[in-house]
Amino acid sequence: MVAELINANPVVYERKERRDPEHPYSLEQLNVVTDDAIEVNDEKSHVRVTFTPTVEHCSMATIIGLCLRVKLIRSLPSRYKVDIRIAPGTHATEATVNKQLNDKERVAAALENPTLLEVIEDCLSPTFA
Amino acid sequence: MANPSSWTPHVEAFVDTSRPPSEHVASIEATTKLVNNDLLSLLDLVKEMEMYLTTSDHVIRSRGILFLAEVLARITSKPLDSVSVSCLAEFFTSRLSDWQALRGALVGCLALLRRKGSLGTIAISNARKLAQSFFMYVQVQSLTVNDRKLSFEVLHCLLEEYPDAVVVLGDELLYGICEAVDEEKDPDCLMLSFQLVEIVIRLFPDPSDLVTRFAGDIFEILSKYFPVYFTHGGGDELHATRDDLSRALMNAFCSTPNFEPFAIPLLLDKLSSSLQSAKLDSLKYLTNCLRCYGADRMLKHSKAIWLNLKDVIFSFPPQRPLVLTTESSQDTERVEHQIGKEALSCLQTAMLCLTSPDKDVFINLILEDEDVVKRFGFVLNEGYSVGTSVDIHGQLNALVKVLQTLATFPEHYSPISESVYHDILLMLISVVTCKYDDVYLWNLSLKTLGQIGSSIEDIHDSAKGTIYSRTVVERAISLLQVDDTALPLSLKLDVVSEIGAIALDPMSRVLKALEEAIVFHISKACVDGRTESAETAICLLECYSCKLLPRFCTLQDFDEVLVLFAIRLWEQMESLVASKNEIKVQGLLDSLMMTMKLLVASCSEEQQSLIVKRAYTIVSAVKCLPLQPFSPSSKLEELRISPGFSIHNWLVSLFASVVIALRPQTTLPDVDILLNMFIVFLLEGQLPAAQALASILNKWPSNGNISELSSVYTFDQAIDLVLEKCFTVLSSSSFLANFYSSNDSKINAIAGLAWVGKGLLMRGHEKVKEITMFFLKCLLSSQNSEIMQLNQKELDARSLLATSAADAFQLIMSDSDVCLSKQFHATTKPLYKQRFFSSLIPVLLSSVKEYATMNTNYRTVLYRAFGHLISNTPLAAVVAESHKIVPTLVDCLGILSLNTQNKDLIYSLLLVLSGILMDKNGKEHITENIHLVINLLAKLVLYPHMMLVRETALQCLVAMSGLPHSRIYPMRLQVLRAVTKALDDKKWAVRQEAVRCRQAWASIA
Repeated sequence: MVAELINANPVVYERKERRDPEHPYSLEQLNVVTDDAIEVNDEKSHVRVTFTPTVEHCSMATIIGLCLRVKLIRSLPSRYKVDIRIAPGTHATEATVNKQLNDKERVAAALENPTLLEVIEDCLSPTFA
Repeated sequence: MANPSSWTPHVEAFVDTSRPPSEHVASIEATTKLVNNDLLSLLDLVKEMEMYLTTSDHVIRSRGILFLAEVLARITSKPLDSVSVSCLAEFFTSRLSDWQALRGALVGCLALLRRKGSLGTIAISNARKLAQSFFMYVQVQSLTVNDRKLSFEVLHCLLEEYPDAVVVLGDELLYGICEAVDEEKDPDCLMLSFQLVEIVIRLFPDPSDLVTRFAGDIFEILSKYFPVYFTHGGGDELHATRDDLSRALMNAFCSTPNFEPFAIPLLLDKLSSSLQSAKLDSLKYLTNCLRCYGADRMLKHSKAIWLNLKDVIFSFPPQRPLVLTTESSQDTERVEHQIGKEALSCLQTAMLCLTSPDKDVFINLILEDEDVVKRFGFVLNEGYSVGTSVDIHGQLNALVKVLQTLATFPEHYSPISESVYHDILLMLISVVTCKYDDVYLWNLSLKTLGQIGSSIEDIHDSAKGTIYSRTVVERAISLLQVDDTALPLSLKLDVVSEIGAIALDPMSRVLKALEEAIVFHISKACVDGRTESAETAICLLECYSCKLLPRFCTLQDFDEVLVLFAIRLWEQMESLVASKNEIKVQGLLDSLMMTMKLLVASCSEEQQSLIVKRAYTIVSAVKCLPLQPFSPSSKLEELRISPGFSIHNWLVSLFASVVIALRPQTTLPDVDILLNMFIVFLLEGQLPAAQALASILNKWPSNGNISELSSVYTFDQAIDLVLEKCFTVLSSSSFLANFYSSNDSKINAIAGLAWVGKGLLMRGHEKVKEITMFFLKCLLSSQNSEIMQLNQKELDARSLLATSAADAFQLIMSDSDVCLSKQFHATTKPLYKQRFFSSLIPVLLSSVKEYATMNTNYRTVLYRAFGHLISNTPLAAVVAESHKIVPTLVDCLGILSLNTQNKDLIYSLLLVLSGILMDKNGKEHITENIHLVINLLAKLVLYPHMMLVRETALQCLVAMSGLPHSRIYPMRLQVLRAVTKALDDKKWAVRQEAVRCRQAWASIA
């Protein structure tokens, strides 16, 4: 029941205004992330987000994934394990991107990069308003 | 006279088409200047230019003519003699036949036609010749856009300025104009041509054979443009917009009733178009045409109009649907909304216009229409599933609106007969009485009935008023009298309050009926002991006092009806006392008291005196009440009342409600006896008695003229006596000994004293200090070292006493709507709360300091009093003192948060803290105590008993992230740790706030 509660509002809500850096629309408007693509298991403290890049060669797939991860890390209690994936068959370098997004060290390293961090903060700032 | 050589170069320059346009303009300007300064006469110019004007080279000729025309167009303010004007007119008129040089001729004609009166205008005969020549030679539609526009302007000028010259042309004129405008496509030119048609038709007075003959042809030209549809770029202000065009075309449509046989079928046809803009335009045009064409012509279209309108109204609900999703759909909704509105206004116009002396054709059409009947019948008889789509609601809404429109016409202009009016009312009232399971329709019908009622000017003296009051008001009132209708009581009360609200007369009748019902049910409840009757009486009383009474008072001041009702209630009490029945339902007493208070409060002083006298007679007739004068020597034991019938408590409470609501000037009988009685009941824990006592003291006349109030005491004596009695009893050991064991009545006695204090405080009397000191003593009494030897039971009693004393501060400070409010005529000194706050805060702060080392249990009560004081004081006053109270406030919150029962107090104190945080000076004082504040908020973020506290604490933290960086940075990790835990909160609002807070504090790094 709790899982349902969480799924029913906050996580989805927070994704509403996420921006694709290349498009002035939020990811929800672009159908990159939908309600169905988010699985929450509160008992096992596990969240899985499956997102669909707009085109097969979308160069922003990694950034989008990174934004999702940072937003979730900041919004969820620390007990959660976050798993972010590209929907199977929707991106050319699917495996690589998935690997990058779920590798703790690589994510940490990416967030050390000031330019990259700034892009992410830019994307996320409307969601914290 | 200027030498020709000085200006001929200008002509040459203009004629040479290879030169840039700026040079052309400059040469015209220069020549114009010469003419204007009389250095060159116009005739000379023409003579010298002869070669240019007559040469067979059409390029040079056209430039020459244009040059002359442009000069002429620029000297509009120079007077010209009639010979020159006539010469020029003849010249330009003749040039109209020269198609290669037409531009100059048009500009020249226009310049001449536009000349104003005294400066030399063209003669009528010349104007007529010009027009004839124009119609003969100029093929408007074969010209370029600019020339077409000029041509239309020439025609426009001719029609507007020289109507006499052209109107005699008759056939020729109309035919010429038809030919000129036919097939025009440019928006600007179209604007002009629509106007041309409108003007030319108006030149011929109606009825005119000519217009009748031409109407078909002209309308055929116009009809091609309906509905106006073009995708001309918007934003360009110089050009005509779709709306402008549509309006101009509409005016042309409406210019003569002769268009009727052609226009109406077209409009009705387009009304069913799938294009929404066409629908909207058709409706607008139809509305206007109805007005312009007149009833005689339009009556034969009635049926077709109604059928088409009906379709539109049924499919486009005029009210806005609730949910709008995307922008585009919002746009469609808007258009649909407009269509619905336009359709209704069209219907209204149709009803107004389509009447003939003998019968209301259109109205009958509507009323006889099977669809309307069916839809209503559908709703009335068969019923439809509740909560159906917005569509049906829209249709219903439209239907009911139609009925309302019909029924709310002023009587003299009413389109419907009385019997139809009666039918409408009957239909609506039967929905109201029978179809209550459909909430939407029910509310709609009731509101409509209310509005129809309010539109009646004079309910006594008009046919409509009589019908309304017979059909609706009587029916509504009968609802109260009959017990067995299925309609639930709450809905019945809604009906009577809606109908009663429309005017004084129905209101009086409703009040009367309600009064009967109340008296009936009270006696049933009390004599027969029926609980359901008591519950009904409570509902009726509530409706009477909360809904009808305020409205009644706006309609009529100080009505006798209220006094009579109050006295009637008292008489009923009297008979109850005589019958010695037990009354069990407490809720009934509460409702009775509230009604009594409101009744008395809305009476004048004389009326109040009447009620008080009657009530006092009834109360004083009861033997076992303590009705002797109050004397200092009398002991409490003597005053003790026998634990008698509850009816006595009822009587006293009801009498107290009368006293509470009195105006300050109203005279009270036997004040000394009353004081005594109320004190006795106060000490017994009867709150209404305490409130009455407080009210008496609060309103005691301050001007020394006390004889009328009391022959025994002065005001100060009265206060002294009251306080002394209270203090003696409340601090006596027997009182304390019984404190814990007995029920609420002791706590109520403390609260009663607080009421007295509140009454004194509000009028600004200094004796309130004695009362607060008494409460402070109670607060601290639990901490005296001498009582350490007391047993547990006594300790508990003391601490309960202290808690009650702390809560007394809340009572003193907060606003109440049961007593001592503006409604009940309390005497209120401005800023009394602020005064009390600033006089008490030093005392409390020093006590807090003094007892800082004590056990927290003891400090809790002190902080409770402090909290009540702070949270009920206007924020501005607290913020001004923030430098003193921030540390104590934080400590207070910390200690109070240990106990669950303080959660509401904690929330209001947290709001005070956030108020201080929002203030500039307050911020500084928070910053000075930042460690304390952060420690507290970090704890409150996890406060388990109230979500609002957690949420507000997080909001405070967000606000604090804006404080000076150097002061907050050291706290960052502590805050983040606390907030991370809040991310896992079980409430969504808190989690969301936590995310914001975490982001705010994470980003200050």
